[in-house]
Amino acid sequence: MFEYAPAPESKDLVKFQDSYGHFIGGKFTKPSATYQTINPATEQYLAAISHGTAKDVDAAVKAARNAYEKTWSKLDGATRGKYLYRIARIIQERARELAVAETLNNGKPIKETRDVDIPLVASWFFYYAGWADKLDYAGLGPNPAAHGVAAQIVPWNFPLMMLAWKIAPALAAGNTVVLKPAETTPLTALLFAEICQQAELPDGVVNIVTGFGDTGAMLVDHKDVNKVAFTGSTDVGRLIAKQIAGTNKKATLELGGKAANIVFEDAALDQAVEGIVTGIFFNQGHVCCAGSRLLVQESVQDVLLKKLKRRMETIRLGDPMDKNTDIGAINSKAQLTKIEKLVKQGVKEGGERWAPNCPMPKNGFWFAPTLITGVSPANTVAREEIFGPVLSVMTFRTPAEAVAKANNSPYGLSAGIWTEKGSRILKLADQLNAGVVWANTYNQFDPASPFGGFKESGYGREGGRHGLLSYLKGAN
Amino acid sequence: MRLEVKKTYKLFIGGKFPRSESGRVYKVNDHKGEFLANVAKASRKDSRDAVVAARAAQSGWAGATAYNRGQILYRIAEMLEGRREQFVEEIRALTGKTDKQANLEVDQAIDSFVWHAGWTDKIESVAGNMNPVAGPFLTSQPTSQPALLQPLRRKRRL
Amino acid sequence: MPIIDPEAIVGSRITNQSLSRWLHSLPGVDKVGLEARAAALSTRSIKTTSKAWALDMAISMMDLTTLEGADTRERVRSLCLKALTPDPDDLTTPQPAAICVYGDMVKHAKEALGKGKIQVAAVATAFPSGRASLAVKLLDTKDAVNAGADEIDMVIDRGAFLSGQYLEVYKLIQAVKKACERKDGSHAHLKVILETGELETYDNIRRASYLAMLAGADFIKTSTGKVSVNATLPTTLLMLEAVRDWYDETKIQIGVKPAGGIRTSKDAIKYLVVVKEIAGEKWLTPKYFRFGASSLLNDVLMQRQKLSTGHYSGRDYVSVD
Repeated sequence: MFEYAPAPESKDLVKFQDSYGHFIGGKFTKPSATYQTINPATEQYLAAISHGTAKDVDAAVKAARNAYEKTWSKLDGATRGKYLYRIARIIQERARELAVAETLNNGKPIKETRDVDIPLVASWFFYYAGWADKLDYAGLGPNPAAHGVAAQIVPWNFPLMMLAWKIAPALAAGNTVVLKPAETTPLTALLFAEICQQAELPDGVVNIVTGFGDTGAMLVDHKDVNKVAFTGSTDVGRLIAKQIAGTNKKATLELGGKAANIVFEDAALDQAVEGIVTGIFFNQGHVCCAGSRLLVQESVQDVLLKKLKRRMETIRLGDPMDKNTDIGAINSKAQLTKIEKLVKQGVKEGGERWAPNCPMPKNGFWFAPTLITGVSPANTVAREEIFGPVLSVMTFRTPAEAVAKANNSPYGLSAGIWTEKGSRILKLADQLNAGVVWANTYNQFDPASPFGGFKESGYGREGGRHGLLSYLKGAN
Repeated sequence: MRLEVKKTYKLFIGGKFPRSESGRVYKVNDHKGEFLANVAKASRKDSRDAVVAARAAQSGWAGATAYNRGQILYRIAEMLEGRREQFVEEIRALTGKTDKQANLEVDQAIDSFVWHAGWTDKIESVAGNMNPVAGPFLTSQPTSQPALLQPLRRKRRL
Repeated sequence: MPIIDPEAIVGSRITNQSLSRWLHSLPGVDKVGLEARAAALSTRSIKTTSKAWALDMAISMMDLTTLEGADTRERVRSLCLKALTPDPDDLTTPQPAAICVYGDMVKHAKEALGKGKIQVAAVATAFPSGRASLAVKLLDTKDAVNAGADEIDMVIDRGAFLSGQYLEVYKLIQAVKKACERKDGSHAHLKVILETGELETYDNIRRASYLAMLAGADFIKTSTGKVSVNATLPTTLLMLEAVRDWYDETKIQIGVKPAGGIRTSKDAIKYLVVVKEIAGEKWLTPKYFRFGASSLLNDVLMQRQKLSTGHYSGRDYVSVD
């Protein structure tokens, strides 16, 4: 029997402090009103984090404003770019440490943080560093202006990567920022603050305020904020849109999704299975663009599901610090409860639940990769974003029906098409109401590609030239 | 007094530093007319070899990801910044420029590499071409290989 | 042991047209996706006990090979003695599964190996190109079988395959399978080399795999090792999917042998990971998976030495063969 021996990455690649304050004006404040952040795979305590108050938020915005007026807006683009290149380089140097930190605080496998998250973080900073002195080419005419101070709120599913998606373009365009990481995953943001210090970034250009939803709301509400960027749930996105309505604040919102992964009968089936697995089980399904609805052509449903189930049996669930782990922990008890509730609802409404036999660790928050078959478009699990490793399976007969079902959602973030017929890919990509369409692949990200959704998945783009426009005046 | 180890100046072809296949060198003096070095004098064959090497490498370079090409250009900037003094000294010896002028020239060279490093993965989104009516979806292709002739102050062709 | 009924599988009489239809109806292979899966499986971290297990299994799966024009009796004998005692300083080292030689060297290999578990595999059918008449190819096979070869590694007719002459390819394999029969009712075990480097596309490789299995292959093998592109991880992964799906359909288990270009223990372990996660534990045995290799053995021996002594080993501590 070929059993894989434990292959743990070393925890002591990272040393967390006992407690953290906020990062304001280039320095860390004294920790106050602290709460605990834990490792969701073990429920072990990692560090004490400060809960940002109105005063903290105000100090941060003031520091950002000060830095914008006195320093950052006075620097030429090439110099701003060089700071971003320095940050990118330091991220590469400290890549392993950051990967371990992210895995410990988020619960996702080290294989993913090491091979996907952190390399993308570095590449995002490299990419936008190159834009800083080329704003004339962004498409807004010569010398476009920054907004000023940007308030940025990022989620817990890709903590450092979402931070990079926010901060890199903002700084490249000439803005200064105040960023609030998610309450359960603040640690890599705080390490990033250290990196800003190592890069000698001028004080106040980047500020990090940790805390809960109320901290974020105060930040969004602050009168001296020019731009709001938010990635998170559609519900909160709606609240933010309401909050800033009637003000001059500009916003980009990256919200939820319920993407259809469409498999035609002529698809390369074995690779389609891989695409389905990547689409919904990568990052424990905590992905806004996850392929959470499988739309399979009825004629190949049996063959495909058989292959899919066999493939799911080889998914390794367990200690995220083990290099051979494929699926890690659910980020929090709250999220786990939500997933369980929705899956139960799915079964109640007539779906059939299946999961491979996954031995799960005693401590921590875990959910096995799960299929719900026999789902129809009216079911809750076909409409509501579960944000977990749960795939709702539906069938279709013709391409037109596939498109209709795929588009039948208030969301419109992403979609996947699996077919060997090139002409069908081009046609369907056009017809699908999704901001990102993947053909014979899934969950591919690149800093040069604009990412974002239609409808209730939000507005604005991150990545590419379009992502830069989000942070310049005149582009909206 | 420590005797300095003088540098030998050869050609740079195909990742290596060969002497000229002709065996020839020519004397380079500093701006005061004092002897500096015997530099390899490239022949037509050397030029041919250089072009052949460049051609052989072109498809690999074009095939590298834009991100990778940008990383390499940025690395050149890093190394140039690190060896600044050497270049300043050589510029000053050859041209008589002041320390300030020579440093400025090196600054500009480094910053040029940084500028271009940032372009590799953005050219498509600025100058790419897509016909939304009927296709085709074009990507930019590199043109042929430019041969760079650098004019000297004394108008001698290299 | 279940027997194939080709007509039942193809769904009609076997003609070039019916074979063509059957092969072309197989699902396509997406190159990017296949290569990505192989690359992902390459990141598995196999350490300590699992590494030790894998190294031993890799050795026991090797077909130690010499296929040179310059082969002589002494050369073959030397390789056989190495197979019998791979590491004289560590007699716990397992033996490879087989020695692989040209047909006219079989008798020397049989003599050197004596009576033991190590098999003698002979390449046949005008290996490596396969360009000769049917009569010559069958005689080549018969000679090797008569000389005592336990296994025959044949090459398919790539020219016929690439020009759509599937029936030609099929008939050759069947004829060679027949030529493997011995008077006592046993038969030499048949490996069918697809020469995947020449087939080029993954769709072709999938089709050739199915054609070979339909025609009676005991093993499907990637390459001769004599062309520029030999075994690769994605190709082997694809062939493992083929034998896995074939088993589902027919209950017949067919083996896979990647050959050529597998030089390091790291490579070999990656292949074993792919076998486990694609086809399953049933294939993790020399009976259903082999490595066609020569220099791989020494690298694995050095890794074994490192695991047992704790020190990195070197060339002086393994023998030339």
